[in-house]
Order: sequence, then C-alpha cells, then structure tokens
Amino acid sequence: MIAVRSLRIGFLSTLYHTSHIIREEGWLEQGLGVRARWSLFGTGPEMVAAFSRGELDLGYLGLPPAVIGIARGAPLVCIAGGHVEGTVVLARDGYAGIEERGTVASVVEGFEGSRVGIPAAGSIHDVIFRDLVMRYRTPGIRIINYAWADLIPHAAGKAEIDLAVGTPALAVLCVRECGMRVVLPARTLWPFNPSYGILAQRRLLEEASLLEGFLVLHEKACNLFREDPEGAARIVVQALPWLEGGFVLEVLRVSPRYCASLPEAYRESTLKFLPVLEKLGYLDPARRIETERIFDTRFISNVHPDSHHY
Amino acid sequence: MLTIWFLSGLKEAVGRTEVRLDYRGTVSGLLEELGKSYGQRWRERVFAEDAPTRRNPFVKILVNGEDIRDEDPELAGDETLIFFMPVAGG
Repeated sequence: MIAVRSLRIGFLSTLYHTSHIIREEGWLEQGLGVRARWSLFGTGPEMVAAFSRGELDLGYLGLPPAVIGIARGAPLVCIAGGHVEGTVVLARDGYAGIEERGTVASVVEGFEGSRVGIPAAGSIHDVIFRDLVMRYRTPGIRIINYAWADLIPHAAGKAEIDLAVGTPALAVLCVRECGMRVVLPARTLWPFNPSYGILAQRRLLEEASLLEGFLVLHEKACNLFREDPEGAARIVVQALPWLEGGFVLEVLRVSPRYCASLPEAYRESTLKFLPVLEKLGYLDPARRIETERIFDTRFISNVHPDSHHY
Repeated sequence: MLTIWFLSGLKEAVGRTEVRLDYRGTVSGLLEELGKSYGQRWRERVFAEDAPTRRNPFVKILVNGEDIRDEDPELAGDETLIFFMPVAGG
C-alpha cells in the first residue's frame, strides 16, 4: 500500500542519471500512480541543503556531499547506487597525461602552479581532486570552485583555468569546445567511487513499497543506459532537447558503469572518503559516522538481489 | 552596456557566444528583447512549452555571477549576464 502520493525529487543535469529517463517517460505517474515534482540543482551540496530544509524526499547525488550532510544531521540515507567512477581530469595543451607520465603521481606533479576549475566545494569531484593534491603534496595548485559545472568550459575558454575536473559530460564539453584533453581518466582516480546514488529522507523509509517501486524503475533505467545506450540517448534528447544525440552517446561511453545496486565495493569505496573528509575539515574525527547511517540496503537488496553490473 | 554570454544550450540558438547590449529594465524584459533578435528558436528554448511567457526552468541566468533563480531583477545596464541550459552535470 502506497500512502505517499507525491514525491519531491532533486536531480542534477548529469545526463546519465536515471532521473532524465524516469521524468521524461512519466514512469512514476504511470507505474506507481505517484505525482513527481522534480527540482534541478547545480551541485550535490546544494541539494543536501534542500534536504536539510525538508524540501526533498529523494535526490540524485554523489556520496561525499551526502555523507557530509548526514554527519551534520541531515535526515538522509542512501538506498541505491546508480553509477561509479564519474570524475575525469582534463588539461589544456602543454600538460602530460597518464599515457606519457605512466603514474598518477607524476601527472599530478605536473599540475604544480596551475589553476583548476571544479564544481562546488564538497562535491565528489572536489573531494577526489583535493585528496590528490594532499596525497602528492602539490600545494601550488589553485582550486576554483564553480556553482554550475557549465561555467568551467566558459572559464577555460577565457584562459582563467588550466585544468578542469568533473563529470564525463563536462569532459566531452571541454574536449569539444576548449580543445582540452583527458589527462586522468575516471578509471585512474578512485576505484569504484560512488559518482551518484539515490538518497532518501529517513522518514520515507517507512514507505517500503513506494521506495521499492521507485527502485524498480531506477534499475530499469540503469539497465537501459548500460544495455541500450542509443535508446537511452534518444530519451535523454527528448528530455533535454537542446542536446544532440551524438553528444549524449559520447558522454555515455566515457565511463559506462551504470547499475542500481549497492555492492560491498560501492559501500567500501564510499567509506574510504571518510578520512579524506576529516582531513578536509568536513567531518569530526572524534565522531566517526557508522555505515548504517549512510546506507540502507534493504530495498535495493529486494529489487536487485543478484550481482552488480558496474 | 550589458555583457551577455550564451553558453551550453543557448549559444546554438543565438549563433554566438557574446553580445553587448544597451538595455535597462527587468530580466524578463531582456528575454523578450532578445526574442526580437533571435526569433523562434530562442523563444522555444527560453520559455516554457505550455506557457510562452513563463521562463523554462532549465534556463539558468547569472547576473554578475549570482543565480537569479525565479527572481526577475532590475538591470542597471552595466551588468555581466550568463545564460545557459545545464548539461555538464553536478
């Protein structure tokens, strides 16, 4: 029995998130009889703030900003995955990449003295890159955070930044519009990093059939991205008609690791962010957050009991 | 003079990335004014499908770096505006 008849859902423009398919195809209305109110956000941290104000029931975002929010008391929990390894580092001409340098450390050393454009502080991209800077001791890198990732190619075009960090969609834009190139592909940065998952308001956990109904649709859309990228791209273009199909397909192929499940590898990769978030001052080391406060795997385990497809 | 940058989703509709314009008034008035220059393609993208005077919620407008969200601020005529439709993700 579904008691809740409407859902307020926060989503990002990231075009391989299932939000675009579910929203465009009206699956929630048709499949669950639920009225959805979708709100677009620029970054995950902005969405966490909306959750804290009680303005959202579900949200699509990267796990680090969600964990920061949970540690600070936001009534949130991750109930499903969606995609892993969605962060890419690009550079303008003159920078060596992993192919030339051979190791991540050596590539990052070459960033010394550079200006880097990254989405908001506390976003997964920001945390991954700041971890690289700390790990390889390159303090001369200047990070510039942007409220919308779309401003990063604009900044690159005006020569305000040398490097860009962000999603596969940002990567394709920077390659096409700014002549940048990928110097650290997604697979080289942080294994299995939780590029996005489905976050739910804790009070919604009592609505098991609603959440499982939503996750069935989410998994179906994840499968579409993985198994039929052309079909998925057609729906994304209907949802976002200012995009062209070739662009969407190119983005979908950058890091095609789409699945709704929450396997151990996903959860462990998320937990590896905790000490980094402590070093960056987002979390209190004296109050380590428990796994159960971040994840509730009951619903996705019922919907997706078999092995993951990431 | 206003400096207006058109980024993803809108520069294709306009056919250029930067415009300088002598304009004072509200942002909604500016959208109408730009519609006179850039025609149907601009209108289709900037205004909602079901209500041709309501802004498409996917159109983001920054005035001097600030996201105006649903507001309709008055422009003094010397601001820098950025118009875009998000595609680069979060």
